Order: sequence, then structure tokens, then C-alpha cells
Amino acid sequence: MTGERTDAIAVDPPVERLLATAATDATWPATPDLRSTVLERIEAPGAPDLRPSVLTRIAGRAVGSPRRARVLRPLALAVLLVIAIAGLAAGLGYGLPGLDIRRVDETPAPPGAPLGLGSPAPLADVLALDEPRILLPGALPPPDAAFERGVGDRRIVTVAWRASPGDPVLEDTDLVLTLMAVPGTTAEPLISKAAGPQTRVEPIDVDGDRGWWITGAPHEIMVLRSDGEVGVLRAAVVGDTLVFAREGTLYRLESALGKAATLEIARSLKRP
Amino acid sequence: MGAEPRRDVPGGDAAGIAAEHLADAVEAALVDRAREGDAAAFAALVTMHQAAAFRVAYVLTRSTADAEDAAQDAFVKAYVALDRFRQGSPFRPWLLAIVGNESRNRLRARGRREGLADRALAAIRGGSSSATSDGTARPAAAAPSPEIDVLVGETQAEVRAALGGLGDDERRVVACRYLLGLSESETCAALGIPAGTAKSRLHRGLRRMRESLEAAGVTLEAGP
Repeated sequence: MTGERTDAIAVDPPVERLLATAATDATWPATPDLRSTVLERIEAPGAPDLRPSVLTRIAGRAVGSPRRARVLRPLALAVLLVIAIAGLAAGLGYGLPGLDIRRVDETPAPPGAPLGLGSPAPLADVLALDEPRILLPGALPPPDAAFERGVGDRRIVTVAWRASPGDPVLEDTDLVLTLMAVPGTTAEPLISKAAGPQTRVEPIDVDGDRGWWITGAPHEIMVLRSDGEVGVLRAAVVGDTLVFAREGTLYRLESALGKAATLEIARSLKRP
Repeated sequence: MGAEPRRDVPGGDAAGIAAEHLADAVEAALVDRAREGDAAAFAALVTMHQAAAFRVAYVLTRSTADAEDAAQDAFVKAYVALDRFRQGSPFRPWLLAIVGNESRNRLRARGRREGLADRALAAIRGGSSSATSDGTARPAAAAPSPEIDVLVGETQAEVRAALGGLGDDERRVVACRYLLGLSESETCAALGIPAGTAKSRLHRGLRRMRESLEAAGVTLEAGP
């Protein structure tokens, strides 16, 4: 997308130089946080479907030709009918063979469960993964919850620590810290490109690995995967963030503890 | 920060060019992801381009409130229209064309509202209205020029005066190219004008600025 970078043929260099200097010192009004408002509008529950063509495309891909649709539609209806009958039978107390449905008042949820970090997973399972390789901070007790999303080189693992009484918390959560690990790496242009005017980015050294301390407005982190694809890591929680990559894994610490403590935690990360 | 408008600088260091290419490749990947309905990818695109979109809208609407609304609506419309975006082509000119349209629509609507209010006031007072014959007022003439207002430093006084002496059309092209750092195609897209028109306005604008600067005693080398 740089095809036109050389289209600037000088018209009047001295005047253009004056303008360039003026541009450097120009004081524009602060750019509002459009990201949050736009995201809110395109994702609002109950908002009209903003991308009707996506549905068409998905439907087209799933169903394909009209002939295929004629076969698949009755099949889908039959499956739905079986599910409905099974649900009705369960509701009336008729259990299906091998299926035991029990009602409970409340399902216990791990801390951080409503934040969309993924499915809760046993800590031992996520620690056993090679991709991404999760590290734990020696400076902290074991995390209170672990979550997993995606598979293979798209797998994202997050571990979370619940705040003790008196601890600062990440906005709208009972957590003090989350650590996300994802296969891949990142680079300065990706970090700075994704940072808006209300976001501050400070390069930081994490035991010899290049990292960034990011504060201010919410932001996405772009991750370069080993196959050259670009992934977008979205903030599930809003907090100050330390990002760094080590040995093919990108680590993202979302922290309520401030820069010094978070950096200390990052420096104490090791394979458990 | 990354969302600042990019500058067209021929040449440049290899590391800078490599970084730009990487960022461009990432942008293309984000557009692809957003086309598949990945809202986070689109949010990253918004972050990358919100400053440029807002400033273009500000230059066109001459109001920060209208600029914010226009830029926001433009992003939402761009998301809806992503299927019509030609894959592989640069994203920013396409986005700025939508921003430009939104801004001009907003400016026209504001003109109509002000014209209506103006005529109503004139009717009540029994005087004459200052609205134009088509019912639009003159927000553009009445409002200050934002591209001049951003030049606040004392050293910028001459540039400010020279820019202020240009007509609206020429000033906008000069502002887009040099103050916002837009490329030629981005300028054309944002202003909704063909390349030839942009070029001639730019030449005329710079020539007039040179005349003003020289008249003000600023020493300049010879022109082209």
C-alpha cells in the first residue's frame, strides 16, 4: 500500500519546505477515541446486521449449489427436530440412555470467566502445551484460573490472578493481572501502528527481549504468526499492558499493578 | 504515534521503508480479516487511521463535533461496505473518500439548517435573509479555516498568512498534501476531485503562496 509514496514531485521546493516545517509544528485538535465508538456500533447487540453480505457469503459457502441445498436443508431440519425432542424429553424427566441431566442453582465460574478469555481449562493442561509455551511468574503464587481459545498455532492461553482484598483491580473485573500467551511475535511498526492518539507506548527491556509498556486507551495488539499471517489480539480486560515476545511466543500482561511491578513480574517469568 | 498521517517522502532509509512495507502488509491482512467479519481487526484499522480521518473531516467540516461524527459514520459505513473494497488496493484512499463524502454531506446539512434558521429569523424581524438562493447558508464563508488555525506558532505567521490568502479549493489541496501529509490519490479521494484538478489547484496554490511570502519579505530561492 505504498505504491504512491513517490508521487510527491516537487512543485516549489522552498515553499514546500516551509509548509513541511509548519506541518511539524501544527497543533491539531485532539483526535477523539473513534475506535471504541465504532466498535460499539458495529458490535451492538440488537443492532441491525451491518454486514448482510457476510451472511450471504457464509451461507453460500456452507450450502453451495441449490442442488446441495435441497439435500442439506431437510437434513438440518431433521437434526434440529431430534435436538428439540431430546430437550423436551429431558425437561419432562425422561433421560436419554447415557445422559443424566441435573439442575443446579448456579454454575461455579472461575474468576475472569465472563471476560471472554476463552473456555476455562485446567492449569496443568495449559502448562503442558508447547504452543504457546506458557511461562509463570516466580514472583507470584499460581494463577487462579486458566483459559484456552482456538487450536494449534491459533491457540491463545490466558492465566488470571484474582485480586486480594486491598489490591488494585483491572477495570470491571475482580482480577489484578492476566497473562496471555500466543504463538508468534510482534514488531515496533505493528505496535506503534495499532496505538491511537490516546495510547502511550514506551519501549522496554524484558531481560534482553524487546518489549513495550502500553498505557491509555484500549488497543489491539497485532501478532505475526510463523506462517506470515497476522493475528489481532483484542483486549478482554482494560488495563496497562506489557507486551514482549520470547522464543516464538508473544506474551501480553494486562496489569493493575503499575509499570515497575509488572516489569518485575515479567522478568520473573519461567517455565514452571 | 502510528495513526499520524504518513508523509510522501521519496527515498528514505531502508529500515524505514522495510517498516512501512511490514505495516502495509499488516494493513492488508487486517482488511482481509475485517472482510470476514473480524471486528477486532477492523478496530485496529480504525486505530491506525482515526487521526487522518478525523483531521480530513475537520478540514472539510470546520467543526470538531461534525468532524467526529463524520469520521465515526465513515468508519461504520466503511465496515458495512468492505465487500465492495477492491482487494489489494490501498485502504486509506478508499476510507478517506468515504470520510470526504460524509463530511460534505454534513456540511451541506448544516448549511441547510443554518439557512432555514436565518430565513426564519429574517421573516420574524421583517428584514432580509442572508441565506443563498438555494436555501443554504454559508458556513464555509462564516467559519474560520481550521487548516490555518492549526498553525499557531509565531514562526508560522508568514505561512499562515500566505495560506489564508488562498481560495478554499486551493487551500484544501495544499492542506491535504502538506499539512496532513496525504498522497495525491488520498487527497483526490478525500476532496472528491480528479487528479488533474488536484494538480492544477496545487500548482496555483503554491504559486500564490510564493507571491504572498515574497511580498511579506520572506527570502525564497527561485521557483521551478
